[in-house]
Amino acid sequence: MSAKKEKKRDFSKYTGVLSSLIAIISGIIIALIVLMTTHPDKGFAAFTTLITGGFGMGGIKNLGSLFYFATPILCTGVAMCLAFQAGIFNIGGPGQYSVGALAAILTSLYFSKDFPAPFTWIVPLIVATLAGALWALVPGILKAYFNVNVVIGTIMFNYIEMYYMMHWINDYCYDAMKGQTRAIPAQCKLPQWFMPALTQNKTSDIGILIAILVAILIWIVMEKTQLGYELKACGKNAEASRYAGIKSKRNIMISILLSGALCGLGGGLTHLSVSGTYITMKEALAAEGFNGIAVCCLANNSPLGAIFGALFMAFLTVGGNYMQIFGFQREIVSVITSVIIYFAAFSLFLKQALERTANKKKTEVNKVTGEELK
Amino acid sequence: MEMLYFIARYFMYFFIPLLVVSVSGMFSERSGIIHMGLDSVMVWSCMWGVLCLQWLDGVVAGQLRLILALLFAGVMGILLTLLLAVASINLNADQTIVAMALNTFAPAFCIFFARVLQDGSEHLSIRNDFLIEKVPVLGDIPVIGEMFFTRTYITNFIGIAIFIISAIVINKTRFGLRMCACGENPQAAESLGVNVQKYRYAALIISGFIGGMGGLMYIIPVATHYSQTVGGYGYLALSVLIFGQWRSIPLLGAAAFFALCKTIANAYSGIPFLANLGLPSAFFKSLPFIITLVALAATSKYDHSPKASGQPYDKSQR
Repeated sequence: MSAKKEKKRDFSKYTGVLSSLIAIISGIIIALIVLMTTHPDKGFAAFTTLITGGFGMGGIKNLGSLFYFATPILCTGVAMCLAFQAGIFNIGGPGQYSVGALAAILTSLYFSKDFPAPFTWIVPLIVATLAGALWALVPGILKAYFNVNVVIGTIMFNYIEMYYMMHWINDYCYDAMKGQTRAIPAQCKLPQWFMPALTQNKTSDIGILIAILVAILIWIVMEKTQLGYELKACGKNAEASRYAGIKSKRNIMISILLSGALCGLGGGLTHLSVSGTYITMKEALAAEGFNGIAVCCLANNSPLGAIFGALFMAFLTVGGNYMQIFGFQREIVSVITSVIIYFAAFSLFLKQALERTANKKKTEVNKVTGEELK
Repeated sequence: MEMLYFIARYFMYFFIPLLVVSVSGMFSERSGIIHMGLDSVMVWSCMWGVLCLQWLDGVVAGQLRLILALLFAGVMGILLTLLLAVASINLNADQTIVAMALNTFAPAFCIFFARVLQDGSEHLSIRNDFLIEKVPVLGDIPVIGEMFFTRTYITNFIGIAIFIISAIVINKTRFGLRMCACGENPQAAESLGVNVQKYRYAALIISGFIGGMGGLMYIIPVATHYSQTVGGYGYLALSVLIFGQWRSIPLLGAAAFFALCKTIANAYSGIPFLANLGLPSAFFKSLPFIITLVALAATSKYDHSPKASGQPYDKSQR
């Protein structure tokens, strides 16, 4: 017990945060370099707008869009954290997210619009969650029972989704005038509660609250329950946990289904939002799915950290939307994201290096004072 | 007969880039570095290749322009792959996450860069005068000549050459065998005096060069402009690599099989039997991906993946 307490006071607890910070700062520095070299005259103004998240230009109203952008990537980010902790790399986020989105749209268009009050939006959300899980089902089975690399499995399902999405939209919910999915009925949109007052934005809704709640819930499951412990054990060493009597195949299925469900929920929340989101007829994978990986990297695989990671990424996105004014493209945000992921990838190395320096300091102090450092 | 020629030519458009890029992946993975970033290498070097084509337009004529652009694309491919190399060889990074970073970076940067270059438009146009109407002598062979040696591209022959050379290098030379040892059991290789890091660097440089050329090879026959995508070919090449079990000859078969699926997916409306089935085009388009999964599930029992693939190399391990 005392050893455990000792460890908690250890400096190593903060190295995770520190290495994320290093990753973020590197990303921002590279963005500055790219902006300054492309348009030296406007580069710095664009840069300040970007890193203030557009709040300097748009003011408090941007809080609404910040939450709007954070909602889907928080869900997909938590999904990735969960999968990562269970030793599974779920790249299927884009597919699961889009399928969830479509499921939410279709359910609200065809079924739930006549339901009694809260079920008009709760039912589509549940269906979206299930649809996301469904889209992860086959890659999960292939991984658990046929030993097919889960990365390949989920990537293939992304592409299958990409091609089928057009087909489904075209058949069931196509608005030919606008070239996108039909608008969902007003009663099926998420309730707003106090959010408009809080964010000074008329279209703000409770999506972000649900997402944060889910993140906390997943954190509790992963940290405080037996299921979470077993999932993590499998992720650390599948063979060893199998010897310890943990059913690894079942755990693979659970983690990938949960991960898919969370992505689906993200799609549902975004497409039931009051501000109105549509799927356009374009052969493209949903970026929200991939951005979840970035959120997860920033958060060091922790669902709670994902809340901050998602808010930060959304912050950058809001800033990125102002880039056009300065003659830049918003893709600069993706460039920053990629640099952050890149640096986060060797965060383990950074972490070890930091820990090494931290431990060095500790022993030095020990020598001088002759007692253990708290 | 015209139909057959048409399908054969179409087939080559898909087959060559898949083969070349999966060979690029083979170099990397046989040396022990999982290369999920093939797609990014293609997207990135394809842009540089296309830009090089634009710069050389009017300076150099004919096939030489294409060959120079291919070389340039290869060199740029090396540059991007070095990012993976440094992170995974020197910094013990998670190779899959690095690759995801590259996959996010390449399309975003290329859109950004293309728009900066041409003030708003992201499409880079390609002036294509590389079609070879008929290869002398070989083009006169009946049937085969018509199928593979007329209305063809020089990239087809370069691609085949790359495959043959790399098959020999990997399987028959000292360099190749040592490289594979680094992917199977790096500690054992190191104990016999093989510098694992050096070999992995070499493998990734070769991989980047080939992958970069593959990116440009993909776009030359099928598109008139470059729009920051290679249609998921990097990922497909990865599945070809796994389906081909990381071995040269099976790789050839796997690439051919995929290319055939892809050809059917794109040309099915011209084939009466398939067009009459009444299936949605989405089905045919996703067919290569579905078949990949089925094929992988069926063959995954035989796992010949390099043993040390994906793990950061730790000298002190046993």
